[in-house]
Amino acid sequence: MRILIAEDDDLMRKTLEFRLKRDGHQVIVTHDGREALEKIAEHLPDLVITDIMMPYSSGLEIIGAVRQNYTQKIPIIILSGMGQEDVVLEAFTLGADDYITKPFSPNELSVRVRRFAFTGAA
Amino acid sequence: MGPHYFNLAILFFTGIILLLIIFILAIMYIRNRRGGKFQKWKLMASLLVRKAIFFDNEQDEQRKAIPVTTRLQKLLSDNQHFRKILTDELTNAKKNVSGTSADNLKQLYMQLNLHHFAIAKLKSYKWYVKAQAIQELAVMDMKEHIAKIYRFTNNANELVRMEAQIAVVKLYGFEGLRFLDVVTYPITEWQQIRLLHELAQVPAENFNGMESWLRSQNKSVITFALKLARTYHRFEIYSEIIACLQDEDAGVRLQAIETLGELYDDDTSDILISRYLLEDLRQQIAIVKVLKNIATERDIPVLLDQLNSDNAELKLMVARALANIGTKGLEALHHHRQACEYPLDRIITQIESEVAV
Repeated sequence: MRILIAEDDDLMRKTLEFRLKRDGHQVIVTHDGREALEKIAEHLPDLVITDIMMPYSSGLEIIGAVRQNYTQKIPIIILSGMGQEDVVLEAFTLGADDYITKPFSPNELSVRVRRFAFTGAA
Repeated sequence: MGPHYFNLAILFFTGIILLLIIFILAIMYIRNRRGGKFQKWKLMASLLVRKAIFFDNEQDEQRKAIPVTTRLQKLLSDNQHFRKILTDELTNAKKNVSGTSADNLKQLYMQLNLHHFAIAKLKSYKWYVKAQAIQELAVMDMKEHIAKIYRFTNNANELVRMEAQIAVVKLYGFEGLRFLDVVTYPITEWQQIRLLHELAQVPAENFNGMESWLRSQNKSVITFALKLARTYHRFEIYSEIIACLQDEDAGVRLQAIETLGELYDDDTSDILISRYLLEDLRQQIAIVKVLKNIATERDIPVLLDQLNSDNAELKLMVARALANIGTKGLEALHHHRQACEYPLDRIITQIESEVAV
């Protein structure tokens, strides 16, 4: 699976990248929302994992842009902080497919990603 | 001034400029070297943290030590900058991961004895060092050091106190709230919001002490306890909440009124109405807001009397409360003697549009 990660925190980005690569996925990493949108257009990933709070464009803007500009279904998993229920609801309204609350277990993330690999958009 | 002096002046200023350039270059060189060193340490710390996150400890009952090179261990004991970088990376990672990975990070933190440094920092004279150490111990889930942190929950320094209060709640959930028994300094509105946010992440277990907090000498503790009662629907302390309506502090009375908007009984509207004339405008508006949700047809005459108030906001709230009672409330509103006069006529139009929605 070709997975795009949009995460501004260095350590988290590397952790996600490491875990997903270990699971055999092809990983594209981006540091902010603007770069994420450019790379999505360039690589058309099979799955997008995005943080909510990021410089330039937020995770919500990424979801909106992906749902508006692409006819094919690109599943999106959002990473949200605790107590961001409103943001999660907004993300689902915009078209997110799943969410993981920080702090999260990398094993859980791996399982959730696998679900998308088996079913396309779960 | 002759040409000789002119040449000397040029020579002097050229020398000064050259010296300045050398000085700037030297500073830049040192900064670059230092930056490069810091970058290298950050990378080393990041690699170690990632190794810990993915360290396979699941199968073993007896946890294995996470391998750390002797070079890194030496650097850690000799170099406080590297120690800080590694601690920051560890705490940052711990905030973002859970499960086995989080356990591994805690294990690494203890294995490297970083908790000893944090405990030493608790004795610092600098408040920000103390506050940072408290935060660090809480993030790293150092329950075993709760007693040391608990001591700071009533510290004279506001920021140290705030961090300690958040830390005990982070570590022990509702049980951590026992600092409310002893805290003498006021708990600010912002801190109350932070505490409620922290509590929202943990199950409401071992939630005791509400009755005594509602009788605290510290008015901010009473206010916070009322917010807790409202958030966690503590109906069993209804009578204690009613007692807070008599408190000398206007802020406490306001909170009690707002809490009764969530935890009400058959007699709540009567009790609030009996308090109404004794209260200031702010509390009166709060009472009417509560009555909007709990008033019944028998409260219509009292509410109609309040429509004569000169305060437009209060008038609007009373009209809303009447409309919310139902058809009889709306009818009473229309039959009021000022119903055709400004501003009540406008208020009635506004309320009718709200009801229609």
